[in-house]
Amino acid sequence: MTRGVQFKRRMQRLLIHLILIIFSIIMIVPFVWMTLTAFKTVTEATSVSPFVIFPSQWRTDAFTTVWNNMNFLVLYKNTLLLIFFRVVCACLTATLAGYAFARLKFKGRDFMFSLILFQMMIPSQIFIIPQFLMISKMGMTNTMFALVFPGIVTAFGTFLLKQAYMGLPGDLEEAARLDGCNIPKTFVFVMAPLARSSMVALGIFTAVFAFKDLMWPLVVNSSANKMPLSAALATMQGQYQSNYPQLMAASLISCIPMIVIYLIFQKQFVEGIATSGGKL
Amino acid sequence: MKNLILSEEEKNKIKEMDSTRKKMEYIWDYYKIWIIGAVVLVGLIAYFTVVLVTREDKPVMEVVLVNNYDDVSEDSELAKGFVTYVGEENLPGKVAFDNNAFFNLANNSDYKNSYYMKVLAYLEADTAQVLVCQYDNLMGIAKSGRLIDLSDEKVKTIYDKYKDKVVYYEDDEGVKVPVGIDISDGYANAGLSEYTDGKAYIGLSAYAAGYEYAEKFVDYMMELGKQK
Repeated sequence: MTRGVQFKRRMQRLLIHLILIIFSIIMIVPFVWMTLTAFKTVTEATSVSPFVIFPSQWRTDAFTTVWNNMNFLVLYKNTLLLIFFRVVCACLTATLAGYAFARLKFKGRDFMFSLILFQMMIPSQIFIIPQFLMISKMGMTNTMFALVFPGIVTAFGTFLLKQAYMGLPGDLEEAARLDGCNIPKTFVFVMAPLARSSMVALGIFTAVFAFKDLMWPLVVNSSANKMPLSAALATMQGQYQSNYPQLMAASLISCIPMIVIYLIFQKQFVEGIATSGGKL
Repeated sequence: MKNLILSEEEKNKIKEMDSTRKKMEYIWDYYKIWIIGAVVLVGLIAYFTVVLVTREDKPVMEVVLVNNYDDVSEDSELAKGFVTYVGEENLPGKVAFDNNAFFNLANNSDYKNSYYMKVLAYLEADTAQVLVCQYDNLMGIAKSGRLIDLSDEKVKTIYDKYKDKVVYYEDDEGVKVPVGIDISDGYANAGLSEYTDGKAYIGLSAYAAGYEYAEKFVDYMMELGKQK
């Protein structure tokens, strides 16, 4: 290889790295801004001068104030339970429905699946009022069930799992049947374990969406000790002013569960995005 | 059902095992899905029973205040004042005030606002019977059809009492529908921070089962207004 080609390649790599670094900085700026603001005073946080980037003194008052004023342990509990139940319900119902649509032959299958696809095309806001009416008539407002309710079934999950089951070879099913498995046994012992990676992807997507879901928790749970973190944070905004250091401190504390989940399931997060082709 | 119950052959097989540990292991290995399913089912039944038994009674009336940042809890001036006005002995349950709703329908984009959706849902589900807000928001919600026409038989007494304070929504065909009552003076005297234009209005849900306490709340606000 000539020196010229080597130099050209090195320059190309440098350019790519430069672009990636710039985009990484752009992505990380909001998080850094949030962290720095949490340690500032209100005056520093709302200063119009662009040069007030770092706090003059690293104060932790905002953290202690929000920790004392908001019951974070209850909020964490509500959020984690919400995530847990939504993930379990979504994976369970989507895998059952996905298998049925992909591998079983029954009347109206395609029509029913097209209804599911149709549901994916409608904005979720449209379902808020009918779903709230259902929950309200059941007398279940301000409960964990109310928070989980819209996530019990998922059109996206059904679609994702259907695609996963369609990609599995039919010979496996045939072999299972020859060994005496009926449809449920074939599903439980042969097919479902093979769709595990798609289930993990769905679980990750569901967890992230449940964590950042604001509209539904806001509508259905008005009681402060039944809210998840997202809705509780929304109540911190004021009409004339928001205490930004406190708001950012609360946001930072709220991020912790998701950061921990991400650190534990980092590999699965990346695989999930690659498997489903979706974005978080 | 054959598969759900242990057959005689299976029972004998388990009985013949020499230790409890082996029996448990065998049952877990072959019936874990049924066991987990049964535990989940029992858990769900227990959860729903507890929730339904311990849930709070629905308030006799709920008022939603839009763009309000005051204290409207049970101990607030507004809540206490209303309870005193009606008389605690005349209230069969609690009266709730909710001011966790912020939007401005003068901006077209706010029709997608989460809080706006919440107010619509509350009015339609009869969770809230009374709405207190600014003019643009009142008209926006009236446009959605969630506010009762005050000339309706069900709320005619309110309309007749406060005819001079009624505000109208004009639909696309130019028909004027009475949908709200101006309570600006009462709003300020209730200890609530005034809206920027000093005007506040009341609207009533079109889906409420009854309007007895809603009418009393309108009376209370109008009474407060006279105290100015």
